[in-house]
Amino acid sequence: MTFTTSRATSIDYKGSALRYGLIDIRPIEIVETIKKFGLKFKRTIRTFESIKPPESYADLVTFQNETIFGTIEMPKWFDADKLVKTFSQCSIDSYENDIEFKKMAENVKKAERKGRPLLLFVQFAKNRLESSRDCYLEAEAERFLESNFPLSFFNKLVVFDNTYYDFVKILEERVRIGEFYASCARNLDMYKKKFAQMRRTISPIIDQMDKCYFSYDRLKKYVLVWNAKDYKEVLNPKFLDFKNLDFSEFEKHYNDYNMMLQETREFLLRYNSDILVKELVSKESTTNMFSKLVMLPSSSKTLEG
Amino acid sequence: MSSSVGCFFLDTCIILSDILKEDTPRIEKLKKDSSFHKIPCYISISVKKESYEKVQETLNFLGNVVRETIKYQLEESRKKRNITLETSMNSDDIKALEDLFSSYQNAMRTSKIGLASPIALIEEWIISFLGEKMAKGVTIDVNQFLLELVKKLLELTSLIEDLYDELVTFQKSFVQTKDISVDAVIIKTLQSIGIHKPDDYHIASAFSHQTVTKEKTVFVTLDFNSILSKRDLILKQINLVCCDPLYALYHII
Repeated sequence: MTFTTSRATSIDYKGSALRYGLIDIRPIEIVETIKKFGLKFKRTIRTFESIKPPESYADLVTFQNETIFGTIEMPKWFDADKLVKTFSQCSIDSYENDIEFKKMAENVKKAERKGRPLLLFVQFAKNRLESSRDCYLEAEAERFLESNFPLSFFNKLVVFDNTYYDFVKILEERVRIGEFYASCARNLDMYKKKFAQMRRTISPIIDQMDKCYFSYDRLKKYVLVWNAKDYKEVLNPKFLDFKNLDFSEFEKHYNDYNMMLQETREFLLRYNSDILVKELVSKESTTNMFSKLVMLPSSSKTLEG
Repeated sequence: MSSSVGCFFLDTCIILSDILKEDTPRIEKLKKDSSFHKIPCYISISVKKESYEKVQETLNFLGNVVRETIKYQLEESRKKRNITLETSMNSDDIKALEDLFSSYQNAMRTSKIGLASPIALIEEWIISFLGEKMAKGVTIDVNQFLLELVKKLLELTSLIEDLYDELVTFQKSFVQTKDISVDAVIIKTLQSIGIHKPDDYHIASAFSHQTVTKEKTVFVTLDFNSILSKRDLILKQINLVCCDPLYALYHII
């Protein structure tokens, strides 16, 4: 979840990537004949198939970028179609090069009904988020130092990362329960029913996160395109200059993102009321300094003597 | 206790102290009293807004100090010493920062800002952070150092955002927001006794609530300089009790 698209990994295409692995599939039963010790046996395997076979990851990100560039004001030196291609290709390349993630998403579709493939997939996404958290923070910090934007802007992007992590934890909980009930089913009909139930539970959560991701992605891309001179630079402009933006247009996207972020956080709270209950280490030096500083009058927060 | 005998209207400093775990014994007593005696705790829209803005303003101030002041000082000092930014930081860099903070402290001494000046707080934070790194034998260049400071700020404030949302935005804890229209005459009265923006609005909201609901309302604050020092005047002028969280309960029961 870095600001700069060129540094992104496939987990950056979060909503879409998880949808691709979890929602757009349905269970099926395949009967096959196997030969063992010279004897023929019939074996029934439960697996998954895609609900929308032609919809690939590439289609998803292209559609998302088409919608984004159809709803933002663009500099006259850029063509919307070319931008869609540039950003989509970058996402597709990241996805294709991220063998581990791609394999996990594909494995879900190929998985036999042994073990917990869906849970493993969500846990994989969660573990990856956990281990990449420092990189995301570093990327936003780096971007801040190469910009004249206020730090609060980048903080709002970090809040999205935290919200996304909470979302994955909720998803893990739901998939764990849903997949367990499905695995206890005696026959395929019952299994399908339980699986559909789980899909009904997690679909609105993924839909909500997708909407939020869209606003987040649109805001970032709006800032990127207005700070780049050409297609080569657009994925990673050297400097983010706030003066390059039309303030009212920026405000529109920023407010939309904030509203969506708040709506999503409130939505997630319905699934787990503890997600915002966090521990603040009050003796930590940054917390200590911040706590004292925040209490001072606004007029004293200046370095003018 | 059966039903509510009154209510507390909380000031911004109470909200921030609860989020940041400052003045914990006082805040905990208030929360305990409120819960045990079923006394609701409200905040006005102005307190909600000010609490959020104070966090953002502090974050942006610190961000600018790191990105502009600290960076510039280190760059200039290294330029003079003919050292690149990629070279590991050492005690000469700390001494360059000492010069910077010292010049600000001198300038502040002539201004009216008191002892807890922001400069001293930032100085302690930055020098302790760098000192700890050096003591551990960690090599760090200027860019990494600035990056680490910004990361620390982002990590903390994104966490504060969660705590703020839990307490204020989604009201999942002990506070409820009240959207109350205030009387311009009361604002003028408060300003005439030296209560300025946005405190005048916070107090006027509590007063409006007391007037409209006829419910005993106590404005709870830790702000001695601007509000508690004028509590007698406020009581005399608009008949509203303002007090420290330790005593809030005893003005109601």
